[in-house]
Order: sequence, then structure tokens, then C-alpha cells
Amino acid sequence: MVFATLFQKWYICRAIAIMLRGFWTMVFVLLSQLVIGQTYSGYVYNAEKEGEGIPRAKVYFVDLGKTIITDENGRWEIQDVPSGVNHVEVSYIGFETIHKDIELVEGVEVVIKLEVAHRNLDKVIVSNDGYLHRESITNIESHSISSLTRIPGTTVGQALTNIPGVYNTSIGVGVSKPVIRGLSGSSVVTYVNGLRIQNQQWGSDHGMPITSVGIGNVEVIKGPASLLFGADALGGVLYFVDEPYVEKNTISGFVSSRFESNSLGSVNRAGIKYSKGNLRFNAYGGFDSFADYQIPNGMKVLNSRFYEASGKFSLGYSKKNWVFDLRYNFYKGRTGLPGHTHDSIPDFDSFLTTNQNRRENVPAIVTHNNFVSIENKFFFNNHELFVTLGNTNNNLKEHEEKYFFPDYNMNLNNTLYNVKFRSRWGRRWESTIGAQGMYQMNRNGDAPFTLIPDANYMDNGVFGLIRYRTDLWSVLGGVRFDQRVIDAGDFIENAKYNGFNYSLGFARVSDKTSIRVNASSGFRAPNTSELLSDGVHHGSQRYEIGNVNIGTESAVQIDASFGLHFDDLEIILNPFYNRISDYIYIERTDSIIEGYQVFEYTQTDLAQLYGVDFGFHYHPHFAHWIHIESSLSNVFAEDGNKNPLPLIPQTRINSNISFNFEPATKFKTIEFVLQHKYFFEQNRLGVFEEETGDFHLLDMGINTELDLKNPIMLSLGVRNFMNVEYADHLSALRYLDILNPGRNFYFSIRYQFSKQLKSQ
Amino acid sequence: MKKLALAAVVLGGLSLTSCNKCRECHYDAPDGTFIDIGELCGEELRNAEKDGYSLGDTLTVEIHCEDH
Repeated sequence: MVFATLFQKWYICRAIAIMLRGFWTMVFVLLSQLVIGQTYSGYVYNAEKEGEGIPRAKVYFVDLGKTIITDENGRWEIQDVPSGVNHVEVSYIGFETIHKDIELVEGVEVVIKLEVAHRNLDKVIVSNDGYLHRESITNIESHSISSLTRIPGTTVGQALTNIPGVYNTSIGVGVSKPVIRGLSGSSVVTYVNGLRIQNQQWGSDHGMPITSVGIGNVEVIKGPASLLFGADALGGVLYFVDEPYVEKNTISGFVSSRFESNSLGSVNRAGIKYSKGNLRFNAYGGFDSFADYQIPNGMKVLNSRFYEASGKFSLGYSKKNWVFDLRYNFYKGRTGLPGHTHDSIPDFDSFLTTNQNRRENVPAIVTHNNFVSIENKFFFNNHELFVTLGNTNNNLKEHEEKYFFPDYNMNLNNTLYNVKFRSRWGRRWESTIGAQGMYQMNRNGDAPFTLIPDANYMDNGVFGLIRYRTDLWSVLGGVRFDQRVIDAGDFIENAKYNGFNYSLGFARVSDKTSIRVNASSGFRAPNTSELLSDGVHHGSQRYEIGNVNIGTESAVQIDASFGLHFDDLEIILNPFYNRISDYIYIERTDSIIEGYQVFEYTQTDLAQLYGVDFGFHYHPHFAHWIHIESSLSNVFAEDGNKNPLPLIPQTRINSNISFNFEPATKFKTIEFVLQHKYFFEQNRLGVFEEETGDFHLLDMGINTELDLKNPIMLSLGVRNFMNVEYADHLSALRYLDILNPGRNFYFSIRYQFSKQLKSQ
Repeated sequence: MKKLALAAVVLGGLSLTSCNKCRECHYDAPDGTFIDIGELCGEELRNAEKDGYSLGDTLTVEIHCEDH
């Protein structure tokens, strides 16, 4: 008995000792990862010339935020980063940028091969190589802002319409809201670097709350994406990614300015990037100012003027297994709302003027945004932990009659968290679990009117997804549960809305073909505007009434893409079908209150949105200096009784021909771009909607770079070259007979520099 | 670096500089016509928007100051 007791005690002590030893071993292993500076290296080669290294190629470690430049032999070397699999973006002028997972093992050289640009054409419609692709198998469009602005749009919202399936609703030039496959407003979620941005986006006059300042890339998920982005991601997601930090021990900067003739507008940017040791920062500022725009007959649209000031600051710090980023965005904008009248029977001529003015006027929307986020990433051998905390504050004032005193004053404060844990299980399996949430407060400030009451939102969601891949196949599936609680005092007390969502898909990608099929769901709980509106919304020129009986809407989309990839030709076909249950929309009624047409939020059992994106890219071998691209985007939308839904974009064909030269002169490169857009007639109309005729738009531009130590980029071009009179189907001004802008010449100049710092 | 910092300070200062806001204002007559009252600036404009524009000792009217 005594022996048994002693043995038991000895056994317990021994077990504890083993556990302690295991614990200390684990601590030692983790600490050793933190303190031992291992070096990893590799080469970037030209895929067409065996063994030829590419000097000055850029290897960007996406999750670590670190950029390495290859030496004269194409060799790169990196220290103080975690071993194991890392995601890199590798680029060099004249070569196709690639995204790739590489495994860092000390003593093993990693070889990365870049295809010469004319070989790889895979970006017409689908480019599943962006920042989000690791957690989504659906079709993701990834574009650099520079590629979307080869012929620059006035605003970032207009630049996005170069992406197939993406459109924008507008009020003049200053208000632009993205539409993805026919859905917009609260159904489209905007992220900037993992931080969800909110700006009362239910309002048709509340435009995109960001400018292109400091933005490097934008990725678009078309269709429901609640698995990764939670409530509201029913129509799609816009995910903006900041420009990366500059490579280690470097300082670089730029100054740029663009002038537009149509609205005497200027877009001005400046930025500086600095990196030394483990510390780095980017800082940017921008100021855009536009006077009233001009329609083709030379008249100006009164009060379509706007200005935007924005700033951005990012601070990064990294140790071997830890990456920290602090990001701050500031935005202030004042946007005039054209089409304003005091008359019960409007005189359309009063909306136009012969004078072009940029002086602050009313009615106008004045917006202040402050976004701040703190990102922490922790890396272990086969695991990564991401923790993002953030706060966004959007103050929106609508001035109807008075310059100093707003009629509406709303402040939307949003505090968010986003935690994600990613693990790799061998070479083929990868899993991610996470939690996301936010606490949102809407408060009405000092103003005589309120459109929506003070309210609090609480969102919480948990998700998990798993991915399996071979060299040819990839399968991904995941599930998510969300709950939104809305508390609006006497109006709604702690109403709960739950959502259960999933995504399941596969991809088969070979050299010549690619097939992707994905089913994903999304849900959107109603917002307080849809539930509780009761007042004149001057920006939309209507009286809006909410409905407290509106419930959650949910959607399921099946999306497929089929691609053929040859050396000089790529063809992509991307059909989709999005089925929305309990679809929420705003409907015009025959009532008038306070002189305004009454619109009521309502819900229908079923809505279906379906269509196709089709595109090709031809780059003939006999003339490598020519690129021909064309894409067709179309969407049909109808309710359960086959009645068309309102505000659905026109079918569009967007074609580009570009000619690229590298003359042996002071001009390093010359690119000539010709762009033609054809908008089909829209005759599938909602209630009280009017038909929109077809129209052609022709744009052209020249982009060149002067071959100097610090390069200067010049661009010159014209939009709407034929001075076509048109009003887009999604323009809110077309009912007032106000046309879109006429011919618009532009000129831009950009100076940039880069300097190596002494290493520590 | 010093030049950049100086430029940033100058730009920041300029952006914070406020102008004296002036507007051509009018009020609506009972018959629906606009009656111009000329240009109002700064505090006078602010007070007129807040409390109304005085026509004589007793009559105060609501003004509108947007471009037409």
C-alpha cells in the first residue's frame, strides 16, 4: 500500500517534470525563433532564359510588409523573418508580377521565375493572385491603382468602373458610389487594409469615403462574401490595400499633379516613404479641387463643384516573428449637390449656368473621416496570428439652405476587432479560424432635422475555413455564424439578427486552362435607415420612410469561371447567379410629404441577379508592342414575379488597345492607350423608371517616362473625346435632364526619387 | 529631410488658414420672387443664417445664400 502510494507520488512528480520539460522546451524553441537571426535567400530568374537572374527585381513579403531588391545576379537575401511558408509578390518592369507561397528554409535557395510580360495574359477578368486569394476561391479581381488609371478617372470611384462587373451610381462628378453586379449602398462592404469603413453608405448621396492617396491595390469580390467579411457583404467587397513600405535602408518620395480641363480640376499628391532597420513609415497628402463640370453644349452644371483633402500615415515595425503596423487615414470633403431648386415645378435650365465656379455653396455634403487601425501579426513555424483593432469615425453634415448650419449632422463611430489564426497542416492543408466584430454608434449632432435616430449596433461573428490543394486542384470550404444587435432606444430595443453563412468551391488551374466554381452565401441585417427613416433626405431629394418589420435578407451566389490561356491569347467566361431572399429595396410611392416624393423601404420574397462577365486579351507575337483587351459585363435583375428591379446598370463593353514603345531617346517608355466603351440600352425598368439609350464613349491617352536619375512621368489625354451627350442609367441627375461631363482633356506630371540610406 | 519638413509645415499652415466667407443672399417674397439683399460676410452672414435677416425693426426673414 505504502509502495503503491509512493509509486503514485513518484509517477505524478515524474509526469509534472515531463510536462514542465516540454513546456520549457517549447518556450525555448519559441524564444530561439525570436533571438537567432537566420538568413534565407534565393534567386529571381527570367523564366525564358535558363539561369539568367533578374537584377533589381522586387520581392515583397506581403504579410511581413518587407520588400527586398535582388542584386545584379538576381539574388535576394532576407534576415530576421520566420521560417516556413511566406507569401510573396515578385515584380520587375517588363515581367508579369506574380504572387506565390515560398517556403523559407535556412541553407535552401528559393528559386522564383518571372514570365516576360507578353507571355502571361491572366488578368482580363479573373486574377486570383491578390492578397485575399488565400482565403477565398471565388473570383477575385486584383488591380493596381496605376493599372486602373492609365486613362485616369476623376475620382477613385470612376477608376473602379474599369473593372468588369463594377459600375458606379453618381450625382454629378463628386458623388460616386460603387455598384458590384447590380448591388450597391449597404450591400457593398469597403475595407482598407483589414479595417472596415462605414460612412452611412445607405444614402445615395454619401459617396465613397476615400481617395486614391497612398492606395496601391484594390481587390474586388463580386457577390456574397459573408464568410470572410460578415454581415452586409451581400453584393460584394472592395478591399483597398495601401502601397507597400519602401525596401530596407531607403528613402523615396514623389510629388504629382493632374489638371482636368472640363471642370478646371486639379488632383495633387505628395508622399514620402522611409525605411531603416526594423522601422519604416509612409506618409501621404492629397488635395483635389474641382469647379462645376461642363456638359457637351458648354453649359456648366451649377453646384457640381467639390473638393477633397486627405492624408495617410503608416508606421511599421517588425521583429523576426512579429510585425506591427499603425495606420491612420484622414479625409475632409465638401461636395456640392447639383439639381437643387426651390420650385415645385423645376425649371431644368436653372440647374445650369454659364459661369464655372468652385466657391463653396449649398446644398452640400461635408464629410470628415478619421480611420485608425493597429495591426499585429505573429508568425510561428506553421501558424500565423493576426490581430487588428481599429476605430473609424465618420461625421457627415448635409447643408441644405445654410452655409454655416447643417440641416443634418450625423456622427458614426465604429470600433472594430478582427482576429484570425491560420495554420498549415503539411503541404496540402491549410485552415483559418477567426472572429470579427464591431460596436457602432450613430449619434445626431446639433442640427434641426434627423433622418435616422441615435442607435447602437453590436456585431459579432466567428468563422472557420479549410483549404486543400494539390499542384492542379484547390478546394476550399468554410462556415460562419454572425449576430447583429440593434438598439435604438424607444424605437428598437435590442433587436437581434442572426446569420449563418458558408462558402464552398474548387479550382483547377493548369497552364492552358482554368476552371473555378464557387457557391457562397451572404446576409445583411437591415440598417436603421431602412428600419426607422422618417424625414426629408435632401441629398436624395425625397422623403424616406423606413419599416420596422423589415427582416434580414440573405443571398446565395453560384459563380463559375472558365479560362483558356494561350501564349498570345486569353479568353475568360464568368457567369454568375445570385439569389436573394427577402430582398430589401426602396420603392417610390404616389404620396408627397412636405413637397417631396415619398419613398418607402420594403422587402420582397425573392430577387434574382444573374449575368456574365466575358473578356479576352490578345497580344500578337508578331507585334509585341500591341495589347488588345475587351470585356463585356452584364447583369439582369428581377423579382420573384420576373419584374425587373430598378437601378440596374446597362450592359457594357469596355475595349482597350494599347501600343507600347521603348524608344532609344530621353523617353524611356511611351504608351498610347485607346479606350472605347459601349453602353447598351437599358429597357428593363423598375417602377417609375425611365429608359436609357445606348451610347459610345471614346477616351485616349499617352503615358511616358523621362529617362532621368529621378524619373518624371508625364501623361496627356482626353476623355469623352467625341463630346457625346449622355446620361448614365445610374446617374441620379438624368431625371433632371442633367447630362454627364463632355470632352475632358487632362495632363499630369509626377516626379519621384529614391535614395539609399547608410545601413546601420 | 529638413526641406521636406519645412514644406509640410508651410502646407499644413496654409490648409488651416480660413477665409472670410462671403455670400450673395436673398429671401423669398410672398409672391415667390427672390429679393436680393446683397453680399453678407463672416459673422454677419452667420448671424443672419442663425437668427434671420432683419428688415427694419420688427420683420425678420429667412435668407438663402446659395449660388443661382
